[in-house]
Amino acid sequence: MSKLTISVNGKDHAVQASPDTPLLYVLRNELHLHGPRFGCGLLQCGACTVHLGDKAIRSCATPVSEAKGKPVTTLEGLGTIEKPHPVQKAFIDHQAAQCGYCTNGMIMASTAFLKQNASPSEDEIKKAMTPWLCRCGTHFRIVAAIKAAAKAMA
Amino acid sequence: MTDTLPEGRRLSRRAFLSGTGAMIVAIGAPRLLDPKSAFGALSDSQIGPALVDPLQLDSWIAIRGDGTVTVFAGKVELGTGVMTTTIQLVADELDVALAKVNVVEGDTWQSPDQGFTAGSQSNKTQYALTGGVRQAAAEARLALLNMASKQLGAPVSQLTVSNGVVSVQGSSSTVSYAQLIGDKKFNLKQTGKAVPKTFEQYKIVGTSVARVDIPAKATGAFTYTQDVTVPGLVHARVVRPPTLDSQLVSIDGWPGRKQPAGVIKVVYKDNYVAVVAEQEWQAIKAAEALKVTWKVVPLPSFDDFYDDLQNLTPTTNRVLIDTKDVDTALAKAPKTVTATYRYPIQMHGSMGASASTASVEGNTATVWSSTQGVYQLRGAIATALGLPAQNVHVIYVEGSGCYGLNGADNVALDAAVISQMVGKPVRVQYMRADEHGWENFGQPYVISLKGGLDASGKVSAWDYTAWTASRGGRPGPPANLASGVLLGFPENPLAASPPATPSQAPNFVDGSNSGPSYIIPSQRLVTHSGVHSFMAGPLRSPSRIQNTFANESFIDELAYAAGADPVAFRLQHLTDQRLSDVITLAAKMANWQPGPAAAKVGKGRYLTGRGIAGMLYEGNNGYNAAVFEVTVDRVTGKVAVDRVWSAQDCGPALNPDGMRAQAEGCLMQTISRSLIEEVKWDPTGISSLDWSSYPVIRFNGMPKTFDFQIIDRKDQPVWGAGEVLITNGPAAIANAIFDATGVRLRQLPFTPARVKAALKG
Ligand code: FES
Ligand code: FES
Repeated sequence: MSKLTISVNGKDHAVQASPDTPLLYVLRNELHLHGPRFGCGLLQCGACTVHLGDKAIRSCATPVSEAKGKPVTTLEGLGTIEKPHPVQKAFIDHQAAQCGYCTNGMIMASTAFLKQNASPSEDEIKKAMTPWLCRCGTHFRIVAAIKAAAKAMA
Repeated sequence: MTDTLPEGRRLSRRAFLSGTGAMIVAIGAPRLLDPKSAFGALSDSQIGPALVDPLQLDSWIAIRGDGTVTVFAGKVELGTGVMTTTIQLVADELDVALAKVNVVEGDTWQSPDQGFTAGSQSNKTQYALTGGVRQAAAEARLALLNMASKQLGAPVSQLTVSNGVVSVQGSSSTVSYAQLIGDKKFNLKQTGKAVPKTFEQYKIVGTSVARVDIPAKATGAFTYTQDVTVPGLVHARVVRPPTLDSQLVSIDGWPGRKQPAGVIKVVYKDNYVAVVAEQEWQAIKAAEALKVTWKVVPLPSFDDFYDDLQNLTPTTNRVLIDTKDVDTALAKAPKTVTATYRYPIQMHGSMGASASTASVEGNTATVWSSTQGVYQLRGAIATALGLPAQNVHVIYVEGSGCYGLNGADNVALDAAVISQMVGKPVRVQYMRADEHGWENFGQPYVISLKGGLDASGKVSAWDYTAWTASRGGRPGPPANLASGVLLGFPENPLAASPPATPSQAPNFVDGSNSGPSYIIPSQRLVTHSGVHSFMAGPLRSPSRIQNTFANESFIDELAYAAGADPVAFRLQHLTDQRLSDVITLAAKMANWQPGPAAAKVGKGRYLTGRGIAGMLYEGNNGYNAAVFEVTVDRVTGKVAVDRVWSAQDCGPALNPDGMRAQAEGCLMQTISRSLIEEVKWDPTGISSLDWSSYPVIRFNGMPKTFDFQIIDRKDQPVWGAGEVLITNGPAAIANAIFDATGVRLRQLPFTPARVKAALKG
């Protein structure tokens, strides 16, 4: 158990955790940020996605020590119900969730992706999002929401 | 006299969802941890209310002083939009704004017992004329109008309501619901006399109201079961044996005899083992490190599985229908067709591994769970804890989409049992392998069909035999779940075979789509179900998807044998106009070109074909027909679903966009189940333990287009929309592959290897 300072959603937090603790458990249990979710712990589903700097990473298998000195952003840090990020707003407008368990990963992944490709084609979106799993079958709406978000942010 | 509503019944589920109001559970808000202090007002002597009496209006609806309306619903939101359609219903029935309606769902101390939230029954139940929320809301409206009539001195017939305010026609006198009864009980028995509005009268029902839960889900403000924490919480992980029937020999401790940091206790009973630790990561590492010796009872052979399934003894045998002339009719038929279809074990595979938090203190327990049946789970937990059901409070909190009996009930049983063993509130989170390997899988089937065609090319005889197996099921008994088996609770014995009471009805329906939808004079349907090594339970369209795969493939095979067009052939054998209508519409949407299937099998590498399937779900719960277009890669054997057209009739469309969302989800899942999904094992255990050993469909498997049309029938009862399209997928895809290649696939999933082998002959 050691003391670490990590910067999450623009604030510094001192946390107590062994350095090998995956970032996900620190975010969820120490900082009570429930946007990032546990799906598999195996880098297979993307439910745990957060941003480390500009990159979408899987926090279930990223040791908290790797977050030292790099800003972490979670779903909560993107926007709120009152002031959603354009990607969050597009997901709400397109009703792009059923159970919503994958939604964190979908929004965090597509937000990072749109920074690299601001006006992707539908095929590019599908290709980029294939590593993120949705078991409810919300894919059509997620693709539509990402397209709409790209437009809104253009 | 009306009593004041106790505090507990005023909690708002929606405020809870959006994080803006009373939180049911949160760090620092341990209100429910001490059930007596939170709900003591409900009962003098007992821990919980003796019974949430469904006959009492107050069990369903409460009007608060601020004019908001709280509905207590026994059917819960599983991610399908049911909370929103329930809010639409109440807002419309009571003439209040949508934003004023809150739902408290699935709580054994607050909501009426409406059975399981399952089988696409929620809207059907809540929107029925009696017995659900629609009736209760109509009763509340009538009671409120009677009160207003007294207060305003005008007959009910002259009253109108808008936004929760009652006015007298042609006068300026008004009174609001809140003024009439705010924060007080109705204290009324439901009369059964209130007449709900009709679907033509509804203004909000029937429109695409946006889901109330999505804003919170898209911003991280939503609370899932996985997020429930209470003060003093500790974390546990289960340690499973290699196979369900393996026996615990010894718990050998830690490598180097060094107990890992944070470990509080290793708990065990019979073949059940779990590790409890202060922090979650500590529990994970400790559970991984713990050395346990098991006597392994191996699983049966994977390769011989379908043969074994047909030779299980004993079995429960059911004769569903026997017109007693099938053998003669088949012997007389100028043409006969026989085929055997195989449907594998598949899993729910929830995106989020299940979790539950429980706090057992002395003789009371509080359990937060994403179960589909709080009351039924309460029974299982009460048995496992040795407590009266009354003392167990089960509170539903939405989890990951479940599609049936996923790990939610099992993990709630774990949390409760471990909390009792360790004497602290416990959160159990399954790891991916615990969810994948230990849920109640969907049932496998072998279905053998023989059919006869008469001289005119019509089906004269239909002979169906099915073999299936299961073990366990929904709670009640703890041993219906894997943890209950490991804890040593007794398993249910196999049901006795009922005496054959053969029906003569040619259009027999049994709720499981065992029989074909078609009018066939001579029929025999027999099922054999046994017990096998795998826990089983309902998985979206249980038995219906397996039966429909066989029946809707076989009708295509008969059409082909008759040289007939698959659409026309179906319509010739139907008298159910609504089923004919969805089939006709789906074919029209697809611009279906009539003619026998596989008439133009190409020579190139990529072959394209179309197939159709249609059915009335469960015999009384929604019509769907779907045309699937596939491309088969002859070289790799890979099948891609390119385009889909589907027509659906579930009575009145309550929320057309919500219905479409369900159809989209069904479509992705049915492609996944048809092309990819199969649980695998070897003698030492289940090998489908993660998303690479049990893959499911992803974005790269999406069809290019999906056209969906609803036939909206406002004069009909509400039927479910959650399980219809999924049911048609396997047969429609098999039929499309046949059309493309001339080769019939009768075993799911249609993997590249299987397709390639079939194409080679
Ligand atoms: S939880 Fe991290 S990838 Fe699945
Ligand atoms: S919405 Fe449920 S997993 Fe994607």
